[in-house]
Amino acid sequence: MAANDSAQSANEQQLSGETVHLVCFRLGAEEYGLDIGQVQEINRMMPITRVPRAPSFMKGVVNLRGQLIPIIDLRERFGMATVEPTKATRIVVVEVGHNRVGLIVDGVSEVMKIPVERIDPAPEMLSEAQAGYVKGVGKSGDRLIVLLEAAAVIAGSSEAGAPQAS
Amino acid sequence: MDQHGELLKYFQDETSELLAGIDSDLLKLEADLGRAAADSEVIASLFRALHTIKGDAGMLGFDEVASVSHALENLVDSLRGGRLGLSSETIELLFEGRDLLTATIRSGIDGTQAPPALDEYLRRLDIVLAAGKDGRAGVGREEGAIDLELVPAVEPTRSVPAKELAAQRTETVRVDVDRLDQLMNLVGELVINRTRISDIAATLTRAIGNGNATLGALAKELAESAALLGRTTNEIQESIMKVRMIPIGTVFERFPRLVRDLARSLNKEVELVVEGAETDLDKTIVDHVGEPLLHLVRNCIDHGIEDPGLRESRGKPRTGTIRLGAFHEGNQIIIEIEDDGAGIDLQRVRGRAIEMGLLAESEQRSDRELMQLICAPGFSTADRVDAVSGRGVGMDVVKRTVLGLKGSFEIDSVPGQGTKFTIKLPLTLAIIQALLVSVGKELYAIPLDAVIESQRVDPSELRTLHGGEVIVVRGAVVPLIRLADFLGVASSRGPNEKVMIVIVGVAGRQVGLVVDGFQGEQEIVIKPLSDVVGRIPGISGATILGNGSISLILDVHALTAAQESGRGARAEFLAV
Repeated sequence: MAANDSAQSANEQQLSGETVHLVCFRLGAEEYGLDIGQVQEINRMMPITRVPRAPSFMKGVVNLRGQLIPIIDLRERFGMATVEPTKATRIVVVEVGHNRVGLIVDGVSEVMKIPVERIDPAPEMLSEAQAGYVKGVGKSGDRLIVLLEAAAVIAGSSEAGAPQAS
Repeated sequence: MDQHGELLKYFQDETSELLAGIDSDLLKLEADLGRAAADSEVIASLFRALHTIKGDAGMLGFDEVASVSHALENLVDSLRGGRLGLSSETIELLFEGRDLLTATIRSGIDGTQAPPALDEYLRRLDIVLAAGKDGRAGVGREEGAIDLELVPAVEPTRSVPAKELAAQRTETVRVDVDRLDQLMNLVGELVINRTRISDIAATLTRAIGNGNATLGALAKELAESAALLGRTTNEIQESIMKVRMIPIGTVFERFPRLVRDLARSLNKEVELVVEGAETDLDKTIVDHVGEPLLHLVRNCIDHGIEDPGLRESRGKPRTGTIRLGAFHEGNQIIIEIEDDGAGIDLQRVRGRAIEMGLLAESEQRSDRELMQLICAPGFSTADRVDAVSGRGVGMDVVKRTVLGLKGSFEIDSVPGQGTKFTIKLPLTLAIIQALLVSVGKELYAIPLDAVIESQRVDPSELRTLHGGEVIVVRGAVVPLIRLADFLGVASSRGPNEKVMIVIVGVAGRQVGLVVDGFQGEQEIVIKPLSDVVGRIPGISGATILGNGSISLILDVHALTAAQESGRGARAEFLAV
């Protein structure tokens, strides 16, 4: 499988020449990006079945065509103020390893390519809640896009919940 | 998966089967040590397995694996040709080689360094082979070189004719478990939709009533078709369940070797008798049952079977016997592990329990209750801690794993005569009957096998005991858990309304779950909550209902256990 992955990324580099393909979305005033390879689909808000005694950012589970997908409220995960869902609210379904997780975001803006040279490492002034998940910051025109590491957003969520659950 | 990955997976699967086969062949050889000549069938089977591993390894470029299997093949070949005699040293050398082969395969698959002992072992093997009668055994192998010699798949000297082998190949298909799981998921969907269509047909029939004959006839046809769909779905479901069933022998396989090694290290003589290895059960359960069995078998050898001398002085045969058996009983599989050892000394268990503060000096307990104390975490009567047991984790793990698989665990023991452990497990875990209950606006499923009865009682019938609510059912005091509080929702019922209680029981303990409404029984497909959600105490999984909504499944074991571990623990468990 490792061979396959490297073959794939080699291909992408050939096609696009050192760019990163991102799905961009909003949380409040900030713009975030996830590698398109990790994003499986984008859905409108749907009924969420609450899971009792789970951490508060774990909103519950949804039935996505017969599969149970846990839903994380990204605002709560990042320690931001929560808001009521609007028409623009979306669930971005990401797939990391065997896990599929839906992330609630304020709205999905676009899919874009950013040249690798235009991505800076994560700045140090990030809030503590975010620091672990940020891969870097991409620049497109005068926009700043915070690149997220989906695995980090998902991982640790069950551990993070443990102290709360007891 | 790419092609190399597929090949690796295949290699991994095949070699683990072959290695298990090599193990049992070596054990057979060892058992035959006294005889003049080694069983040629067994030698041939060993040779075949090693040869296959060598061929596969060569194809994947695992040079070390190829060279160690080649060297072992030479050794076996010398045995076959009579150039080398079968002795306990040779057997030991073969066992050692088998372990090295396993380690080398592991490192090949993981892409790590081959075990350092490999070179030394190969040199030793060369010396043994060179010392063989005609001294030509070492010829043909150069240190570290890949052996690319491609021997035809079936050699004329082999005991299984080529035709037979070919026939065997076509009868089975190797299927990735993930694919089966996916199929099982899809069938789960089908079951859900079947229920849904039946619901729609019934609603439609009611809505149309006698108003429209044409539509009425159509609704009737829909209902019939739904019933037919239901039957077919059931059959598909059953067939797939059967496909997922594998013989428990796949778990039993590793025990002969384990028992041999363990008995040897403890200077005991133990014979393992395996019965019912062909008994089928669900793959998921087979995957989980290995660890508890391992603990139990270890326990039998370490604590059960006495030293040979002691056995003789007690008038027992020197060699102790451990019986590992499995059979079906109704919808369950029963696994028994029995030894003819010393049995469990209940006085010692009692003494230890008092020492550990599990029991008060004055407390009287029945033999059965004392026996259950063995499963308490950290409990051990062994005076020393060693690699085998004595840390007091074993029985605790056994009990928890078995309960987690919705099974039960019993211990019977007669002092001086032996101990018998009985594990009862369901044949499959995926689909169960459940009672749906509402709590606030939410729906929860309670596995029906745990439900004893449901009751509606007047609030005045509830009592308070030790600060907790209880209800008295036919003289028995049953503690209550208000699910609305536990789950953190507002109950939809007023304080003066009748209280609805589902009484559930596990392993003889009962708890009353206070709910807001009974919503009927239904067959549900259990789906695990994602790892991302983590373990939620009191919730064992989720299911998708006919209308597409999700209902969480209550973990009755956790709920009763929380009750049972006393009020302090309960307060902690309920406080969120």
